[in-house]
Amino acid sequence: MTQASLHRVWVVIIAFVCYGMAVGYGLVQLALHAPQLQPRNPQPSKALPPRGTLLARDGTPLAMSSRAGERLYPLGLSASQVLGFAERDPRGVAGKGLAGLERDLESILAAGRDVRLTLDPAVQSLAEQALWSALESSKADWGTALVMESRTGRLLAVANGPAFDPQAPRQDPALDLSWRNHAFTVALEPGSTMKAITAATLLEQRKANLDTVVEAPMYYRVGGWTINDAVSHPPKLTLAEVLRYSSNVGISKLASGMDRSRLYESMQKLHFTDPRLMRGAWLERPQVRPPEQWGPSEYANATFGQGFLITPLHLAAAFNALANDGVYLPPQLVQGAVGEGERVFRSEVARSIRKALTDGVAPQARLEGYRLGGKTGTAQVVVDGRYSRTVYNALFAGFIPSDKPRVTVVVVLHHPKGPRIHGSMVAAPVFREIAAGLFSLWGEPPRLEASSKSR
Amino acid sequence: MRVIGRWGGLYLSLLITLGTLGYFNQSANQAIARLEQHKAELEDRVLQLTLTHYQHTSALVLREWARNNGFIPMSVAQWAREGQ
Repeated sequence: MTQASLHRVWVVIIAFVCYGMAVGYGLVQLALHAPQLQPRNPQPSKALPPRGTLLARDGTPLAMSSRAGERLYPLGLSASQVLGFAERDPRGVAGKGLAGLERDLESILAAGRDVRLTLDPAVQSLAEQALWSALESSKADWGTALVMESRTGRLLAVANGPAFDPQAPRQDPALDLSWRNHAFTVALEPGSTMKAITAATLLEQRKANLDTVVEAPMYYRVGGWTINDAVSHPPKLTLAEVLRYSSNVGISKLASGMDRSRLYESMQKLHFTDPRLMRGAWLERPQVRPPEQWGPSEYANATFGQGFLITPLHLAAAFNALANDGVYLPPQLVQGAVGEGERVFRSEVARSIRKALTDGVAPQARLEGYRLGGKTGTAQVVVDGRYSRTVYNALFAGFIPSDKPRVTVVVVLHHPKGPRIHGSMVAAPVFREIAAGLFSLWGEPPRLEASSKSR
Repeated sequence: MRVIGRWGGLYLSLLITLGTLGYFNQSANQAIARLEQHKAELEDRVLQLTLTHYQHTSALVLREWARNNGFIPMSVAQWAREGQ
């Protein structure tokens, strides 16, 4: 073999080795990166995750997203004001939240995380059915009803009306208020429902008991203002009768024997001054002036729920302290650990007030065979800086059942029209209907000896 | 010629192996794409069925149906003791 032939053999061998290595590399790459059903190293998607789902306490989806990004509300009208809505482009793809929990929980939902709420679809639906019927019959502008679990503070229902369809074309939000969650976003005067809190404070401070008698004319003057009673009553009333007849004169005269800061302390302990009493949802800021700014007439007004503004949620949480034997629990809408309780009234005080509110409950709130208790309220609404003679809020706050409360209920109807505008006439029947539905839901038959006392 | 024949045979066999692997890869890719498409269609179907389910059986719908058909809550019915 010549020297030249030997050189050629080496060149061919080296060329084949290179070729073999290249083919081998190709085969190894194919073996390593062959397509598989489950990718070994999934690459994080650059696309935004679909918006998270809002779930009811039983797992029912309340708001969910399609693959295309469309926001869907399987329960339709139910709880729609609490859930709110998100931006919607012409193709129906949802953007960021604009109202309700869609807005308040934006950071969580936008990250694709699901949120479980405390709402119970069965309780929610019965509260909505009762409220919407009452709105129709009373011709009220709007209304809200809250159902709170007494031992935990969890909101089982937050009903609002008129009904709002989150999928329908949107109206002008300034004119059509059906989208608004009035329970959280409207601060109003609680009216006579406040008398239960004032009475509990009097008992807590040992300034009165349910049998304490007060001279109660139909009107009297305080600080240059006249305080009137709406319901005719005997000239002398016990504290229990003051609650039964909802006497403004009686409660303000009894409270005049107590330092006004004591009432304010109760209001503070019941979080009437707290704009952030519930995690996860935006609330309208309450407007409560400190006692140093109260004159005699402002203090008298405060004892029967005038001169300060709180949301229906604040009122529900406060009444729930009476239901929970004097211990205040922070209201809860997003599932989680129950908040720490805070004692406001002695347990015997809370029980006494519940008994008085059971014995003196409005006839329209009674249900044969069950013990129900609560307090009505009819609050004049300030229009153009003055109390209107035609615009009222009708309220009812009560316990179901009232001896061992399982839930606390607050009902508000704004501007009912016609001859029936009082809390006892339009709000109490909603409470009664909710109670009837709940007892059926719980499978609790009536006990004929258990009815609330007749007058 | 014999050397060219040997290496040519090896080259061809490797080429056929590579082609076969490529074919299987493409088939697997298409199968995955088909399965993903099917999965997406099923997800859409589940979503539609979920919506339909709640349109017909949500608590509010059932309650409205019960009211329209004359049902009343047990708690407001007429109750009587046994023997009365």
